[in-house]
Amino acid sequence: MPTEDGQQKLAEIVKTADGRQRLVAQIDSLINAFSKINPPDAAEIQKNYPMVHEILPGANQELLLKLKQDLQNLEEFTVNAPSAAQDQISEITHKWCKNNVGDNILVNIVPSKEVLGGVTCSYKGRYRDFSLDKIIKEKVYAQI
Amino acid sequence: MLKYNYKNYTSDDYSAFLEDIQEVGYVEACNHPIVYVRGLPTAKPKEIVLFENGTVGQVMSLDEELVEVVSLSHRTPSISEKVCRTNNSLEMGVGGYLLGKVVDPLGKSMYQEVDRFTPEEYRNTDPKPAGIEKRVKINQYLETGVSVVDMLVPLGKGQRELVIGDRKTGKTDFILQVILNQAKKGVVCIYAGIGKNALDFKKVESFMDSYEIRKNCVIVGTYSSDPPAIVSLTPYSAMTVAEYFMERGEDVLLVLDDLTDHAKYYRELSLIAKKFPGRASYPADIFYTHSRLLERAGYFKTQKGINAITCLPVAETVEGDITGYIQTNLMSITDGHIFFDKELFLQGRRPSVNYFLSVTRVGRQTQTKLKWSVGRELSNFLTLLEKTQSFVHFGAEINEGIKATLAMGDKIIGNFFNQPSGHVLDTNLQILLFSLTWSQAFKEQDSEQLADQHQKIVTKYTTDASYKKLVDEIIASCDDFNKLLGVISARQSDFI
Repeated sequence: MPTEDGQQKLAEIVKTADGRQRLVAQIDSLINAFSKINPPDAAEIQKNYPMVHEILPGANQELLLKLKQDLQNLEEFTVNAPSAAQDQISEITHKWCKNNVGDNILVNIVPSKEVLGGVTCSYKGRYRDFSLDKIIKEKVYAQI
Repeated sequence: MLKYNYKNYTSDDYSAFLEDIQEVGYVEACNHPIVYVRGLPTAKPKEIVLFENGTVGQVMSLDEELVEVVSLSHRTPSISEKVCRTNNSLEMGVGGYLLGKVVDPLGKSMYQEVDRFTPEEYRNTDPKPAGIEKRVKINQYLETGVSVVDMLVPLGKGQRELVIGDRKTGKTDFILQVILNQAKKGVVCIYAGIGKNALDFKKVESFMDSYEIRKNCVIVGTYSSDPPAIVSLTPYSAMTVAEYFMERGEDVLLVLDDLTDHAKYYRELSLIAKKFPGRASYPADIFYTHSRLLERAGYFKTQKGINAITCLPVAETVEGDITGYIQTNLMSITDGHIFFDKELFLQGRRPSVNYFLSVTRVGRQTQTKLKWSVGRELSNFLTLLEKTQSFVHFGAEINEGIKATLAMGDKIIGNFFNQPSGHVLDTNLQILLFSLTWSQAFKEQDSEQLADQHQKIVTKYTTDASYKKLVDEIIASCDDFNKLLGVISARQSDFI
């Protein structure tokens, strides 16, 4: 999977930073399982490690390590929102990122009360503030 | 330009910088005081960054994917915490108000419950040293007030002279004597205490208060419990303060106590940052760390004229070994060194300067002909004395000549060079006392009586204006030691 096309597909499946974290945890667990005397067979992998099986049906240790590396290479688009996002919101945000920012991107929605409303975004170190907090400071506090 | 300090930082500063520069980083890992940050794509080395929780940091190095930041406070940032750039290098607030104050390397008072300052300007703590076009040949004499140094290891204004010796050999006492003498002449004196105890600072402060020189002095210090990044900034901040006063048109004396400790703190920081260790586990840039600091001292042309920053860095040795790594580095950077010998200290000599192992590369060109000839005479005599003492050591029979040499040696070393803490002598007074001793004007043989006689002359010189004028005129009129001896011998009763 270490191709650009492969990375796009990976981002499409994983979508969010949380998803990546869960997948990486499964990969680590599976790698440990492969080191044991009775490694898991395909059926056990499909049952106990569904995310890994979905992406990499014929997994072995070497491929799993490559998959883990590819996951780490995916860029993150971080959004600070006033509350935790539901899956639907994450989907919509991911679709927006794919259309406007790039393909190999995972969305990370971080709840942050300071924002009040709107969002702040950061990607590859660049930061933009579209929060209600900023507007209040600019428009309201400035007039006081 | 927004300013900050790591003790009174506000979250408004953080938000303002984030909005202004629109770049953010996230803490990926932390090995206090080194923090690894992902993001900040256009961060520059030595740039100041602000963390969300109030920590201030400085960019130490730029990796392919991560930015290494050294934290300048005790607080540790948490993982995934946001970091913003400030687009500023580390600057220190300076102003005339610093005189008489004790400050930390960021310009804030170490007694914050008492003092709060508003800086007149902010200056970069680590600028490039001045080029050759701004430097002037050192031609002004620097009086330390300590006879053994003024006579045998003379210093010039703008010189960098290393003060080196074992612990508890009187280095700090000597430093304080020099500060006392210079402060009385109106020179701004800056004492940089690098990772010292609170008691050490109190001793320095009480010394300055007791001699009423506090208003001409600045203390820049850090405690040994401060973060290593802050401690390693201390000498740079002290030099920044020195440059401020120099550009105001004043001569400055800067003491850095001590650079071997500074090297240890810098080594600690570098090892935590996983820089490859070199000799004695010091990082490869340890020489550059000190050389770029000490090159900022010298004799310079400024807008107000020609002014000097004279620097006395202090280095500690172990068991008198001056061949250590840091010690030899500093000796090669500086314009000479004054060696304090543990054995001489244990023999009771104060100051315990070993003039045979001390060097001055620049000071002699600042001396008058008279001082030069006095120094030469004294130096020749001490060399002869050393040989004589080794000869006598074997218990051979000694003639009258050798006895006279030994007796003169006792008078010079035991009395003339002996200066306890806080005692300083004017250069002309030193020449007078030496000339009187040399010409056998003092009839007293007992050490205590001789000391009393010296003290009477010193008191008379400092209190009687006409006596002082007489001595100064006679010394100014002679350009040779033999001529001076002739005059003094002819008019002994005027002096004693």
